Amino acid sequence: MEYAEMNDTDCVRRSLDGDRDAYAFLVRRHQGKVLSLCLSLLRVRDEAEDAAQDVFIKAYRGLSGFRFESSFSTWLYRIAYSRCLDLLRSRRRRPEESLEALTAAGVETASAATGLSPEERADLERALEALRPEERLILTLRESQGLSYEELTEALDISLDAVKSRLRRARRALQERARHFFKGESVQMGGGKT
Amino acid sequence: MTDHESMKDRVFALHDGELPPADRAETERHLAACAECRSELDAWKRAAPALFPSLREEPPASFADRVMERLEPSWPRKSLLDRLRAALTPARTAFAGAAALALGAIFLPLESPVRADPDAGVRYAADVWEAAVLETEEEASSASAVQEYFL
Repeated sequence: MEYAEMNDTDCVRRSLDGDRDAYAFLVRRHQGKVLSLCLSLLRVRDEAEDAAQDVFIKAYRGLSGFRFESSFSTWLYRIAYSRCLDLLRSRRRRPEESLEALTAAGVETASAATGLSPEERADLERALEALRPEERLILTLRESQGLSYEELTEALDISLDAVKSRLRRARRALQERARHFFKGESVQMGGGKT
Repeated sequence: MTDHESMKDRVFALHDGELPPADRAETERHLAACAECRSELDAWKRAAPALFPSLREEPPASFADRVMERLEPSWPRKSLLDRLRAALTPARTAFAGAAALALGAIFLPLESPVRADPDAGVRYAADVWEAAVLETEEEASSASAVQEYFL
């Protein structure tokens, strides 16, 4: 049977039996989504590509611990979240580099057609960068990757209530940190307070 | 959490498409009437696409190869037998068997004394088979004699 006809579980079993090509096929099958996820979270292409490679290396090394209870992709993406969280945490410890990365790639990769002024966008980017990595992760998974609440419970391995609560806290934290933007909107559009 | 804070959560759940149907009508009415909630949601709708762009990137063609190169030292070395087993799917095994038979029919007669005879290959194979059967029978008979001697 060709690899393309195999599901992930079969490919994982073959990889565990030492079939190198089966694992290479798994990498090719999931590389696009893993890289997109890393890029959405890290916003710097080179860093995201290195992180995505690390994800597949780590996944292979932990393959014998894969219990076939969740899908391989869910398991893989959990490794990706964890790797990106580590990188975001270390980035928070090096704020100068982080700001550099934002101006080099993050701000530019953000859609140019959002109708935001450069100042507004920079203000928002700074607010995002100041969020706790867990808050940034859940917002990215929800807003950029479009995960439903149910999918978030599986991806983050937390309850539905925890998803709702973390999402609420993350949004409020961002609104609070970019008060100027959100308050300005409020005054301009509704006249109320935020 | 105040009632209004709780209503804001519902407004965002509605935006996320996650609000239970039973709560939708009430939340939509609130949203229509509350300038503060409307403005907060509108601001979010403007900010989110800039902050969380939907980035869909295809890795470079060499991506998987580089991963596999990095994994190479940790990849278990397979024995020749394992590699042979992995390579031999049922179809390949059948093909290999047929090829072996064909090669046997062509080359075995080279050692036979009746090489010019077109049926020599088949007869030679039959002779070899018969000799092997006789040999096995003799071995079995000697084994049985040895067994009888010791018992």
